[in-house]
Amino acid sequence: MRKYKNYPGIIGWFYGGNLNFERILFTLHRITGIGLIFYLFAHIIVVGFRAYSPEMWDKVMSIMSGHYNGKYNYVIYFLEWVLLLAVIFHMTNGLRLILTELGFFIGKPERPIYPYRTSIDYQRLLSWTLMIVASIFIVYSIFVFFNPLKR
Amino acid sequence: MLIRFKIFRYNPKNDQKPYFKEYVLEVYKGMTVLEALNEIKAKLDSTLSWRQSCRMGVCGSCAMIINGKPSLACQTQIMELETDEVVIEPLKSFPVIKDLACDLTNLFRHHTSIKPYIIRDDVEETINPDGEYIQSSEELENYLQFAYCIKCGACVSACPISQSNEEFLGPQALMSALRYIYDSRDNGFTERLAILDSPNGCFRCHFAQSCSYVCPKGVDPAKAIQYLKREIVLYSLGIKKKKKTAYIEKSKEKVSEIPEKYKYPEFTISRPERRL
Repeated sequence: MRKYKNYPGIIGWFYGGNLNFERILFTLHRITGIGLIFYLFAHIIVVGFRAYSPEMWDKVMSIMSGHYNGKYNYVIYFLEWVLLLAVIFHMTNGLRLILTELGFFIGKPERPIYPYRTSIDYQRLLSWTLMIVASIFIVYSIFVFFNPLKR
Repeated sequence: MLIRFKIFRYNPKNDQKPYFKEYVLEVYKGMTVLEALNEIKAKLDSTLSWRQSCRMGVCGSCAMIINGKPSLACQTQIMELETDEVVIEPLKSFPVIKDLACDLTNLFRHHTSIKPYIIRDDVEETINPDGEYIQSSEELENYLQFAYCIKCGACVSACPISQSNEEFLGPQALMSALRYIYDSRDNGFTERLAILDSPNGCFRCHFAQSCSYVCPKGVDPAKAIQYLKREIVLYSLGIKKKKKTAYIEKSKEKVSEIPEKYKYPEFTISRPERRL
């Protein structure tokens, strides 16, 4: 008999329905993780220019640092900041995942008595704390990156 | 109060693609989504299909996605949703047979793959038991929460990994594995390790916790999977504590003869022989 295949696939990572806060963290962790893998490939290619000549290296580095021929490349500068955001989020959320996956902050097995208290409630404080830490780092990074006095 | 129900419809005989059909129904306080479905079938559209059995959150047959959240239709009261429109869809990650009824074969295939039964070293005792395994109440509390699973499939439907990978064991199967690993009578951790530590095993879980959020029985599969990961990590590092397996307490006083008042009548049919 014919059946309708009801698999959302990767779309399910981005929209699962009316679900919890940690689901958003999961999605962001996936996006930043995939982004960082692509960055690593790009990074290897850029660093690989050193193999050609010191002049080539200097030229590539000047482009990548945002200054080239005395002009300021805002796109690269902004992308560098986006990379930092991804690193900060992936780092803080990764810390939460390491702790919880080793069985910390999720509570012990207990009888399910209504209203149920699940691992979500036990680690919610950790989630928020680490997201606040991430926000502090991000706000600080704005001051470092986009301070007009430094230009 | 009039509520609009937007229900997923799909008939494999007539429809190429699924579609949503709307029904307007008068609902009362305390009315569940399952009662509303029954009312729609009785009064508005007799072709509507879904699966149900106990009507009281025990059998797990009527799990469906109600307003974006996988829930049991028999436990969800319409007034508590606080919306004028109720959208009902079948569970995701399972093929739809018709309308809201989906095929849960994959769920049970994964469930059986983790060997959901007590595995003992003393095989002879398992087949021909001559006593009961002694288990303390503390040992019972270790796994009792995970034993309350009704296999409704809501957790698998909410899991983002199950949605993109059919072969992922899923929250239900992994949680059942821990239920047996944490059972003091069980000795099958190493036997289950090959499937649990496989690429589609517990390390494929990335802790989105949607399974625990939607579980209608408060079983908390996310917690179980993280404990399972810990057990496997400790085992890999060689620092996992050796499990004390429950023993059999045999009666000290051997009853030589059954007292007359407890004697049962002779069997009228021949008793089948126990086979090993």
